[in-house]
Amino acid sequence: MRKGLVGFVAAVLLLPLGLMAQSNEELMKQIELLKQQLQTLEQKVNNQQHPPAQAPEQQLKDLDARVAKVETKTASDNMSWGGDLRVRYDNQSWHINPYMQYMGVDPHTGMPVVVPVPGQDWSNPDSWSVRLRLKMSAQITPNLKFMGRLSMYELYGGAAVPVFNGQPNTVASDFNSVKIPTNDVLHVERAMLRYDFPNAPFTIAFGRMNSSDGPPLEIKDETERQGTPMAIMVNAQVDGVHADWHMDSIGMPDGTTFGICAGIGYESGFGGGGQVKDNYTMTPFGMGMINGMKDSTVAGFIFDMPLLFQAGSTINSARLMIGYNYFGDMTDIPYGSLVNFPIPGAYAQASPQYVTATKNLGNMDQWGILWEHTINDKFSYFANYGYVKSHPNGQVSAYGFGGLLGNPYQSESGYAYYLGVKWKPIEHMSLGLEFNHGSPNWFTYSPDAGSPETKLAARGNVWEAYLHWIINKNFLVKVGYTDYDYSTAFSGWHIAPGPLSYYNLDNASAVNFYPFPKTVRDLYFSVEARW
Amino acid sequence: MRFAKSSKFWVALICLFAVVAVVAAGGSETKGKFYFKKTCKTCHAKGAAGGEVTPLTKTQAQWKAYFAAGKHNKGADALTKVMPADQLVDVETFLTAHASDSPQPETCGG
Repeated sequence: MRKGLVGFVAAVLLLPLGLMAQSNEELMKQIELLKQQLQTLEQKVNNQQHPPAQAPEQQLKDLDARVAKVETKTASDNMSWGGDLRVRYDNQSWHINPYMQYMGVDPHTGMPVVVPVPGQDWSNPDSWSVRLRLKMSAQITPNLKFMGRLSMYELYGGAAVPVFNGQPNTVASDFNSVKIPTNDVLHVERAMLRYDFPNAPFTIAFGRMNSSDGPPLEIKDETERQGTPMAIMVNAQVDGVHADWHMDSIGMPDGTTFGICAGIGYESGFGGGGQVKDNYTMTPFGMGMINGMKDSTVAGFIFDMPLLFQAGSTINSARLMIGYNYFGDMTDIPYGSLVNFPIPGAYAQASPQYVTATKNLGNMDQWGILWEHTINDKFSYFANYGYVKSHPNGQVSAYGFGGLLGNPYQSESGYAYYLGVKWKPIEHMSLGLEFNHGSPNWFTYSPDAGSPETKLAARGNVWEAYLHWIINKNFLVKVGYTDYDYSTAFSGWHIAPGPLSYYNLDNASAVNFYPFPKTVRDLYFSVEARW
Repeated sequence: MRFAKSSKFWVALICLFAVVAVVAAGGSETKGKFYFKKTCKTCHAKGAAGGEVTPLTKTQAQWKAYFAAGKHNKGADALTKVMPADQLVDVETFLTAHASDSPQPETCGG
């Protein structure tokens, strides 16, 4: 056994010597072949791990083809879209003080007939609404931009035109169609062209303007600024022209503008009565003559100065606004309004009717000033003041609702102020408190007055407290409570049958045409998303 | 009884959103705007050496990616060389909140 093992080891050790002797040259060939095979394998592995780079020309060609597809897609998408959706719940309760209801004129005596109405409490504990706003923009040329907004504001189970109850929000007009919860119709709220003058600090805009939900409402709404004019002056859809001078070009703080605007609120030349002589129309109080009416116009200016500064360890953002509007040849009601008049009687149905402006009643001046200030994103406050003065022309509405601010012969003036604070104890939560007061003669251009969110037209006192959860900048949950205490009837109206001092809502002997609320309490909850 | 059920719902809802509110955190837009204008705009104004940069220059995702990369001057420098890290958080918050695909202010002057 041992001899056999020794013989096998000796054979293995001597084998290479035998091969060497066989052919050294052939062995070298085999090694060379193996090297080539190894190189081939290495090349394959490398190719799998690092594919061969394309020539730069080919890369550019491929890239160009891909970019062309994106460019084609972008170019054919002429419009950029954004928007917001809000679902809101309101729980409202109204109280109406005792008053005297006007019933008409006694045909025998010619004296007005009135009946006493006791105090009433109404409640609406489950009102839901959906508001959808689709924002559009298009950069037509480097200096010309289109901006628009389509809006739907639907009340669950709502009507196209609610039954008229004396509040402006029960009159459907071109100025309030998206501010009042009605049905599922999508309206054009905004549609304007803006042109930036090249090499000059001016812009000009035409069309249906960004004229609603302006400062300081963005503080409560937790939004970007939504409109140009102060909300205490104008909060409605307005058609016209607006030009801005960008005053940062002369060393004013960045973003400072001085703007002028003009618009038309009643067009008498087409569809109105301006071109027709002896034009009579039916009104609830008989035949009214509307011939010779003039256009209603608005013209004004607004100085707007944003500030951004450091004070000690705080960073501050502030804004000062001063505005003026002149309303010329105001009409009694908007042209072509739809009103759903309540018809008394056991089986009577409300009767929808188109009504039209019947008289130019005169002119009005309106002033406003606003200061708003945010400190470190944590604390915001604002103070806003508005003043209005009428210049009546002696005319009264053919509908029996008198002249400007209830006095067709003499100027009347009113004022309002609006104060608010907002505190963010933590980044994603806001707590706010607001108060506004309107004098008995106060009027602001807010034709949706009486809607759940419209409080700046109120003649009286309004408190509002709110709590917001800002889950994300574009997703919010809001809870709030608004308490209205009206002093005077016809809030939101620029007309009244008689001097507004007659319509004190605490006076049980005051004669009113409709049951105006003394107090309204509104608890609301909303979920909002923006994109 | 009905009120009791309703109040439980509201309390639960308030607690839910309070938790969400406490958990989330971020920078300050107002501070970010201030630091952006004070620091960035010195080189990135119209006609300036760095070329004009505004919040609209990028989308939200692009701004987030830019700050995540943390590079400035075409990748040559770290962003922290330009301003402190806490200010960068505020500037990122401001720029992202006003990026080209964010809701924008709406006025007649645009």
